[in-house]
Amino acid sequence: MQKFRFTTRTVWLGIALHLGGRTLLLLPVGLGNATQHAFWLDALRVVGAFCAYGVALVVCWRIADEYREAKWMRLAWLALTLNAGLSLLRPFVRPLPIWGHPVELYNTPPEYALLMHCILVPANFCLLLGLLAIWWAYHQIGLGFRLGKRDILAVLGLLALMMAFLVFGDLLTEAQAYYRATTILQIFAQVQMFLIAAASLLLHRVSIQMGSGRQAIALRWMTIYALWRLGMVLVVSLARHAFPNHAHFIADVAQFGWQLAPWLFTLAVAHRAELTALAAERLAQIRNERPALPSLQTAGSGR
Amino acid sequence: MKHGISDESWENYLGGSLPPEERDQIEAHLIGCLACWEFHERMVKLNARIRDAGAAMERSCVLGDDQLGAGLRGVFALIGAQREVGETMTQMQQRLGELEAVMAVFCGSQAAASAIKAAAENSPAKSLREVTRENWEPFLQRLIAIAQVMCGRTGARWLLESGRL
Repeated sequence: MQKFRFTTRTVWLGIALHLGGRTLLLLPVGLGNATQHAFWLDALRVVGAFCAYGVALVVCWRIADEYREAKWMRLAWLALTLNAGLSLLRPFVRPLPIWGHPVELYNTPPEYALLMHCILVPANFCLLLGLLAIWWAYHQIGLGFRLGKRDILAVLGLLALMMAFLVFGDLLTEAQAYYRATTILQIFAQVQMFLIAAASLLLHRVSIQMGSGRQAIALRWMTIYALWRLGMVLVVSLARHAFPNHAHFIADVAQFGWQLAPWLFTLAVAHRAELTALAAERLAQIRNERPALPSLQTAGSGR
Repeated sequence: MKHGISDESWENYLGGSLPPEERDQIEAHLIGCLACWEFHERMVKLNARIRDAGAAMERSCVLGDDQLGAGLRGVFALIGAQREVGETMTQMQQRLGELEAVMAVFCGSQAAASAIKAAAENSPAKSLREVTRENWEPFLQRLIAIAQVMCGRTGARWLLESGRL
């Protein structure tokens, strides 16, 4: 964490530039008319998502290195690194204006939709694995992090909502996709989204039971990221179904939410990275005052 | 006061320290007053019993004054030693408090308190109250193992450095 420091302030600056730029481009033409700035809006989307997931990839990789002695946490952060790495490809799985492709903001060609879901499903799997592994690592150290009735009810509620969503599968954007595989992969991805949201609720419970601390803040942002994505899927699907004549308007508004999502993930990992930076700073301070300490390898190995 | 005889006069009379004139007055009164005579009799018997009990206690106590003095010095030394143990315990509690504060920055106050409690219970100390200078090292190692999950490698190192005695 010493060479390049990605602070939460840097991430907030990225969010402001990305969404601020998008707002500035849309203001003159109004929502629902984004095609007028298709090139710039798409370029902003690609650059913003690439920056957000790129920063998250580097930070997750460094945090995974922090957990060499804690196998479940290491697995968790490696899975999150993989999630960030796969997600890094997502902005490019569309016709790209920067490579001279013709841009159609409201219509993704079927090959791209299939490819996008081929990346989304393993990325979601890694995210789910990461969240569950973090929860399991905390559960294993036996500090009394337990689920209450309310948490179980919330998870059951999410699962019930998922079942309802599957029954009304036609609400999904790729329900009538050219390739059958795209439809199936999208349903699979939505099931994953519900499971990710449920796993994030477990982490939210842990963060509450921690009392306070920076780790809890990082976990809460992770929960917000998971619930945000699920919320976006539900709201956009219902809005498209309820107002079929306002598809362009809904898409333009929804893009703000979709383009914010990668930054929320980056914000969560940046909070965790700041913790390591703080520890390194304090450690250096102590070491300046004391002689060197023997290696930590002997301390708590086997975990 | 009974029949003009004060409590102090009674006490001195029974103790044999009353001046002769006053003693004669009391004895003259006792010849003619049955109530005072009975009171006098009761008090004489009571005084005799107290004297006998005191003598018996003195006989049962085998320690001399020197020995009693040495014993008392021992008691005071023990009290002093306990105070020192108390001060050491306070120092350990202070140290534990510092570790908890360091850990709370990472994982919150409740989690830090639970981690320190769990580390103590799973170390030779068996409980937080029993953490001493002698069993500090295994306790700290146990805490570091928890910290490696909660705070990561750098955080655990910070905790380890902060926890060195």
